[in-house]
Amino acid sequence: MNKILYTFLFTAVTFAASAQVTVDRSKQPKAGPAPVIEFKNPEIFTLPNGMTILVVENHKLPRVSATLNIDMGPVKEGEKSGIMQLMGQMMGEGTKSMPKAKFDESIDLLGADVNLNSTGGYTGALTRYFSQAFMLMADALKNPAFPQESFEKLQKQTITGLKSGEKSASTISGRVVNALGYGKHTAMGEFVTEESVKALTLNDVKQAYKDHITPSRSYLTFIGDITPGKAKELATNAFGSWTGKKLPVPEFANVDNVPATEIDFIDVPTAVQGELSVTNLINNPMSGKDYHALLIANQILGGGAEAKLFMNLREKHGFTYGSYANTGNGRFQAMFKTSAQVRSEKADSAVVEMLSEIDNMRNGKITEEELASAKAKYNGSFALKMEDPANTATYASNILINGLEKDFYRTFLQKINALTIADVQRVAKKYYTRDNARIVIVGNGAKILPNLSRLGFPIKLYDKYAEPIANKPKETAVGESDKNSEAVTAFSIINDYLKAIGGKDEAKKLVSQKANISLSVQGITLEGTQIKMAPNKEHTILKMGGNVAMEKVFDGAKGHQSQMGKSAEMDTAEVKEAMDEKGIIPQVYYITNDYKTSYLGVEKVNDQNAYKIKITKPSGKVSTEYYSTKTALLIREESTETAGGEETAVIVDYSDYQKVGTLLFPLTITQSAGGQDLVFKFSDVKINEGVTDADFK
Amino acid sequence: MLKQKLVLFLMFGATIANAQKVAFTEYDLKNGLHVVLHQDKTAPVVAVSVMYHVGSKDEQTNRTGFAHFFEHLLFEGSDNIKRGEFMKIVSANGGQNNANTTQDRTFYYEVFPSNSLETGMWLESERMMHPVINEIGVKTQNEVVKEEKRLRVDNQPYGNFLAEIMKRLFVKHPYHWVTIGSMADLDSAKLDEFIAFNKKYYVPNNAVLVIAGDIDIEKTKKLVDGYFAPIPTGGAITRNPAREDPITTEIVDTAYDNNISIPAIMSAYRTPGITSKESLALQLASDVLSTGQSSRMYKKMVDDKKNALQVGSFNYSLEDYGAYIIYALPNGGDSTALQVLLKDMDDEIVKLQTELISETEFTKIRNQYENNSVGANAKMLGVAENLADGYTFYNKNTNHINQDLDEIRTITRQDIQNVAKKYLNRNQRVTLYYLPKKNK
Repeated sequence: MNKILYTFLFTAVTFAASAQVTVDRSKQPKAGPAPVIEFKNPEIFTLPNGMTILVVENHKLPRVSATLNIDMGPVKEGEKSGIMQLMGQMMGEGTKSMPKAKFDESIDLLGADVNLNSTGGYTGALTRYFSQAFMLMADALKNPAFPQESFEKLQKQTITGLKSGEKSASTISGRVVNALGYGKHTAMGEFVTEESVKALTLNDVKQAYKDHITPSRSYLTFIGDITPGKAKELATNAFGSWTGKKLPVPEFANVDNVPATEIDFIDVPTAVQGELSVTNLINNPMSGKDYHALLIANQILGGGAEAKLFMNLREKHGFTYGSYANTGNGRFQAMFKTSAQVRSEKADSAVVEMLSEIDNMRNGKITEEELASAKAKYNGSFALKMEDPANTATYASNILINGLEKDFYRTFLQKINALTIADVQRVAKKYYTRDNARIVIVGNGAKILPNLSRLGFPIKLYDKYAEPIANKPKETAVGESDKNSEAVTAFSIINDYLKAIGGKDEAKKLVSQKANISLSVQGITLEGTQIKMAPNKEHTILKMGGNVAMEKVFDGAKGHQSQMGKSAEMDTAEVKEAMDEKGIIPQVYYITNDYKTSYLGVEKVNDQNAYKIKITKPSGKVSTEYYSTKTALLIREESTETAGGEETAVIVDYSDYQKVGTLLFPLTITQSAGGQDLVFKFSDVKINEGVTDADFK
Repeated sequence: MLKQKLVLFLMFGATIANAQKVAFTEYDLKNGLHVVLHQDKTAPVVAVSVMYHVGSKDEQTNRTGFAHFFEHLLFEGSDNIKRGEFMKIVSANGGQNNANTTQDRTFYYEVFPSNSLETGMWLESERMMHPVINEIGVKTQNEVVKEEKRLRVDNQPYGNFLAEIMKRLFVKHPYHWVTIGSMADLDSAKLDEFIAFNKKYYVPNNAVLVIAGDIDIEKTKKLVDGYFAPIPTGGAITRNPAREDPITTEIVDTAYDNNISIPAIMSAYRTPGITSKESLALQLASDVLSTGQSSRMYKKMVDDKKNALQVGSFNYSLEDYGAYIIYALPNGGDSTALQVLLKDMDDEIVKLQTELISETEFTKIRNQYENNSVGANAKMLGVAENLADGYTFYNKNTNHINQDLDEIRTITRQDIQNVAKKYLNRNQRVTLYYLPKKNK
């Protein structure tokens, strides 16, 4: 009987349970009431020497951490660049009473983490070993040994480390973006170089230590399984009698943004992706009235996977693995930056999309949904941050360091939740200075640069150390091209051209060419023929009404030109220039050491984008050639002719490419010089037939 | 005398240490989904996670990269979640989400303020029940994955080192390739193949749902039932990956990396899978060599001889096998120094094989292990992953999370010497010179 009842009850319970669990999965479940976020205050006390101590007591795990942070602000190192980092590392190289090996052994035996750095140090340990580990950190901070031997080791390691980042596009980008934005001779923009590290000495380390490692304006934060009483005791034992320099609050003049938006390009030929950043400088103190609105604006623009930049550049276009925005803040000038690592072929498109999302923010193209989501994210992250007791300490020290209202974090969400689209648009307009931005791109110049000019911004080239590259590209013979990306580019442009007209091998096989020409000039038409034979023999004749109007003959060694009855032998310079041509299609021979080529970028020619390359021929004559980015064909050639002691720029445009045999020939050639256009039309082209040496007498 | 006291103190300390026990409830749904619930009300946070027992080792040799690809594809939406909405919903609820893939498993998760628990379950159940897998999603994520590969592998200094080691260390087993896989394979895969892969592996009977945080266990059980019970079960999954033949002659090779200027020397040994006690002993062996600045390799090569910029050793422990990897980068960046570094590394291995480590070292590595493991369960997401790992890899032993430290304490100094002798022999390894690519 009992058993039956039991079964019945059991069935009833399960029935009731399954009746309750019907869910409507067609729509998103409603969230319950928001959890209450409790702000705990850390215990705070100060030591007479200026050190502030914060304690966040939390006994969930048997461990304690202590962090010392000396609030020195950005340090301008100048020619001692790298000294602060090295000084920080040197504090971990043993103390006056404990050589490094012993010091390391003592830490490791406790299983503890003890690190020293240029603004203080960190200790993390199991509760039972914490006091010992903490005293080791204190000893390193107060009594560093600074052995010369360690200095040399770290100096060498730093140099090796710098070398390891030499080719990394992201390392270069990290350096150059700040150096260009703030200026490379400012505290925020300066960077470490091999030269600066080599020049450092142990005395520099000692001086930097004296100047910066001090209890003045320092914050010591204990977190975890420790009582405030115990923390105070430890702190007093370790640092109570410590003295040091009084630190001034650093002040820096504001750096101006660029007067007009520009592209700053750094060529890293080996980069697989382009590092793209759009930046400008801002002043955004946490105590400022726009601080909260800027947080929300940043969240909507590029705060995560649901933000505008990510949705556009990754989810819509697949240009990148991720794109984000970062709005700096604090007591000092800071940077607003949007960034993405994009594939080279799409770098230009990525710039366009990134700018358009910045514009959307400025124009208030923000939906209520986006605003609500950004707010929700902040509300949520406040809850999520409660998992980590370290945040309690961060909030407290932020208030102290930034001089914020005591209730800054208690009113934080209230201020966030009161923001409107208009507020967000207002700060976007004010702080995202779209017309005074630097678009910094670090990547493969050969792939990225040609497409950038269409964007219409001035393009400035810089090297890996933010030095401008002078506007005259290095001249390099193509044969040496392995070391020079510009020459590699010219090389590939020429190769692509040869491929496009039918292949290098076919071009080489071309030994003679014969065609009819007609020339229209000022309404008059001249008819004639042009005969060419490899390498550089030419006979062109144009007749008007049966009379020879123009004639040019070159037999490979000498020649003459006549025009309207006046004839002249070619002079030495002219012969030399004619000898520049090593074949009917001279590009075949550009890829030899006799020619120097360099790639000059992309320009528009007759509404087409074209690669511009400069060719210096064996005679020293220079011409600039333009090859279509689309078809790879030669579309323009510019050179300077000297006639009657005067230099005239001559522009020759090639068009109407048609196939003759296996090769493409331009059947229309337009020559512009001295304000006059001559249009030559070619027809009845014959190749490798019926031409002999006799034709060039 | 002082030293004596210190050791005594350490030993006393060890006896009073106690790990925090992670309490949990676990059960199976009828469709085979294993459910694990853990309550912790210290913060108003909940982690909702699903670990699928599928990784790159489950891929066909001509379709590598599938599991990782699904890490992306399964954010594309479901019958009830429009394309592009998944991540928006998470944010709108103040949460965070992501996923990661290894050779053995894929882990999807959301962390929410605890009032959005149900949204987390809805998202994960939608993803399991009826994800949308179509051409547009495949095409978009294909581009994204290619960018990820460029970012994380091709453009990353030393980004290819693991792939270069694994392809030489494993020739038959699918650990031959790394999770990112081959872009050509992904390009040539047809939509049908993606759908079939999903149907086979992303099913309740191949997954663990772990919910950890500020929850009410009974209410949560009911919601789990509501959201996950209607998901149809999948077919049985059998795995019999090829076993490797032992390596009997040292394999010496060279690999090049475009993104580096400092070369590296690496040696790698094939080791047993994650659940074996030997795998733990190997991990401790690696701590002796390179954890902390007083570790043997660091002290000798970085501090005393100063010929290394960086040294490291670790046991890369996977389900079927592991890879014990040791590496060093020369200080100064000179390739000719690699030979000396290799000898320095090898001498340390020989020392592990021929001498027991000292008692002090033994205490040190155990303390280090404990210090690191205390933090592993500090946050709910960590707890969720550790619970799921236990069930997925340790013979359905979810409680492995609470046994980790005890297991380590069973390893003896002799065990460490034994594994060094058994697995870390020169004729069993791959030695790789990892060099900067020369300009061509």
